[in-house]
Amino acid sequence: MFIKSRFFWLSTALFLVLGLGIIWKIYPPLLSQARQNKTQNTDLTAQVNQAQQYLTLVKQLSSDTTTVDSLYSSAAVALPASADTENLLLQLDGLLASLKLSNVSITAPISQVVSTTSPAAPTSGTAVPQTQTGSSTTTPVVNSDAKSQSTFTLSGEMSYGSALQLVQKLRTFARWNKITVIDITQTGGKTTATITAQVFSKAAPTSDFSGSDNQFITKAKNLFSQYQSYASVPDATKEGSYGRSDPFAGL
Amino acid sequence: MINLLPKDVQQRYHLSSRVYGLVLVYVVVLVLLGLGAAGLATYNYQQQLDINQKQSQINALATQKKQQSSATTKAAFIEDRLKTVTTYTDSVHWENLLSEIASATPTDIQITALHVGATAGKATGIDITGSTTDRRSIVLYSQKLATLSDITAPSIQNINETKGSNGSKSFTFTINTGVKDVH
Repeated sequence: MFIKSRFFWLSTALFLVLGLGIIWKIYPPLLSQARQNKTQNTDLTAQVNQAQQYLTLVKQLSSDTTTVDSLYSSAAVALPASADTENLLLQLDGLLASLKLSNVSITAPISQVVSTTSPAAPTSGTAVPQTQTGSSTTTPVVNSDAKSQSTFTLSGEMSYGSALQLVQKLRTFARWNKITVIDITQTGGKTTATITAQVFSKAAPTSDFSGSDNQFITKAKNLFSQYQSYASVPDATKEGSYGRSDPFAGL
Repeated sequence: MINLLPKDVQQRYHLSSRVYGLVLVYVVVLVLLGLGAAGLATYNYQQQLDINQKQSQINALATQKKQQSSATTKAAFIEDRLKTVTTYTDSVHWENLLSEIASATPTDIQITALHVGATAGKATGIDITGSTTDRRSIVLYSQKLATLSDITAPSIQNINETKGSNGSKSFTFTINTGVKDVH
């Protein structure tokens, strides 16, 4: 009976056009935008939380500069950004003094760091060693054949027990190292030991602090507390007395 | 009540009222669809405002982060060293190894040279050179070394016999072993 009504057909056609138009043309972009916004919002919420967490940790670090500075200096001594052989020599000097090994000499190449991917020991003739025996030191010589790792040697007269103690102390030595050779010989009633080890340097990281680990400070404290430093980093602005009228005059 | 209108007029009224009813349904459906679309648009707008707010919050946090760059630079350095510690430190407890070797040495053997390290073309190993008056002790020493947890495959490289002027015998020897867990 509706079939005969022109009004029915007109209104139905209009309804279908408008209804389907709304469903096909307006709803899909609105729904897809809603979905997109929801995802973006969730991502941003996560980012905000992460950034807030990161900032909380960083603010915590900033407020505890003493700890951060101390950990930073420990990290810089353990694995410095440059060869830092001068400080290595001071540290080794302190180590030998703590073990009262006065007859042991230190040999270490004074070198500049050039990053290399394959580790290679300095070949003879390329490394310029600095030898330190007891308290006397020779002038540091800059080595052009620089590596991101350098080798130092501790050699001299010492008992088996002392050599063992020295090896043990090297494990907890402030500058991270890897022992490559241990030579102990006994001749004419004297025991002589030579311990050769590698120390490394690595450029400062270019990436940002990740802040992903809340326990970062605790972990760093636990790690670096294992290592013992035998010398402080020299600072000419804070220590020493300077000025001689005749620097050639005897001491 | 009696409807005196003619039948066809009555039917037309009936039809009109039904069509109007149907049109009303159409209108309600269309209004509901429109309201839904408006609701969605409002939701999107609110979400967009929220997104903008969070974006500016992130930017503000990034600015604050930049202000703490001194701490973050140092923290990044410490973090980097924390991650790489195993690469730059020894995995072998050499002091324990030396201690074990001393404990395993027979009382009638004197070690004259001990070399720990890699020799040309070989993995890290230990060369022990010593002397004794009893050949048997050298074999015992080699066997004892084999029982140590950090040492692998000890083998006697050579035994040299020396006779003294009074007829006494002495032996010099070299034992070579491998070392476990050397990276």
